[in-house]
Amino acid sequence: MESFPPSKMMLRYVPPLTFLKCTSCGTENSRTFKEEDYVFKKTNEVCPKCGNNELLIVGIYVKEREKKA
Amino acid sequence: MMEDLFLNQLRGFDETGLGMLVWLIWLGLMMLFLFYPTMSQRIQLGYMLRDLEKKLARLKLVKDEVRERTIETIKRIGKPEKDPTQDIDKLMEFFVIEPESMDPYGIVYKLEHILETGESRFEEEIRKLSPAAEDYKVKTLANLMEVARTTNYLYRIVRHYYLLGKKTANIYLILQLQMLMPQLMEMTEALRLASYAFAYGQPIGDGIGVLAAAKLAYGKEKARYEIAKDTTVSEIEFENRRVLIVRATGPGGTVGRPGEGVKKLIEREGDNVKLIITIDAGLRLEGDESGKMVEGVGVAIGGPGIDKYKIEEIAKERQIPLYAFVIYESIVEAITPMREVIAKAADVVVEKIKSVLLEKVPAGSTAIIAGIGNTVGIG
Repeated sequence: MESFPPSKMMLRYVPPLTFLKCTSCGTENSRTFKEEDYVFKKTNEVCPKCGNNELLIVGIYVKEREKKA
Repeated sequence: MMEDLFLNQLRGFDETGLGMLVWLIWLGLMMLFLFYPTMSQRIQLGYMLRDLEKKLARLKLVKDEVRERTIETIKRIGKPEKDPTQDIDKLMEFFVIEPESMDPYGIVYKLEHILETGESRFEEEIRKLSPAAEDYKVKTLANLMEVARTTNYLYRIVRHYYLLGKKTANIYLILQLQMLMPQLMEMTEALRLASYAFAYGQPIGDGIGVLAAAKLAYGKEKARYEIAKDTTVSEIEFENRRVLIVRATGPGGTVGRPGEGVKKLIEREGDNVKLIITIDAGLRLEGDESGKMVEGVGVAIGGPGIDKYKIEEIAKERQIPLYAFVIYESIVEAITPMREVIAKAADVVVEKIKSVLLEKVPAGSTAIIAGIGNTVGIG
């Protein structure tokens, strides 16, 4: 996605994830963000559980890193 | 034994004349500081200038990186016929002059007029540069251009004070600049990350107010229409209460005109409106938790104050209570891709709004809820 060499800066860019919900069975899954994604967009992707080909984008955000116990 | 060794060494030192030399150097230095008291200040100034020079170089790096990303994105999305570099460089110098405040009467509307003119002009220029971009993408590209313009401005300001301080050897000027540099560097880094968000159309932390409003309306909308430029109203019914949800129209990067939208709705609905709730991202203090929702009264809207003024004015005239929900985040989080902890706060806000509606709005009445913020990546 990025065509520039990463610069040595203080803050690192972490690409967000897209969270999708199946409109049929309600299963939620996530994948890396694609440029045309936006929250509440209906996509033609296939649900990995029921095979329905309509998923709703319910969130786009940067997942928090899990804290070590 | 040790004492003898030490004394012998001292004697040896003396015999070679080294002791005299060291003593003369010390005397010379003392005379220098006596007759040239600003010497230490000069040394300190030199150290501070070197430090600023490094930071300025870093600022330039960020400015150039954001500029390159803007050019690349406009070429990729807008597909211009000719190279847009020259026009982008011209837009990076674009400015807006604030209205005269000697006579403050009517200044809000003067400021609104100037800002709207600036916004339209900016959008027109981006539209010309991006003939292939859809309308909502033009708005996001205009936001990206704004980020490039801000980084350029920051760089020029810091360079100005650095060069001025160096030219006049003014330690106090340089000292003030050096003290501000950590915040300015953080802001620059945040702008660098913001450029990624606008280049790819990703939701940013500031969009949390809009996200909460959109979640409240989603799937329950009875009607949806535009009330002001880039501002949408969704009408829903909640437990026998009419709820009018105002927010910027997504998924392009815009904040809309929520003040104008709320004002028009109240003028239309009359005395039926019993409550106005605004939801916005609020700057947290150091030590506060990001994504925490807090509630209060008043109008939660940042920016130049035009929207806030309009809502306050009409709410006071009609005696409508003003409630506000704020989601804490830092300045960096507000303009960079939305973090999980902030996104999750939207659900908390939705539940809270529902309970406030039940408690404060009588059945059969109307409430207005305004989700404030940039709607990039939120449809």
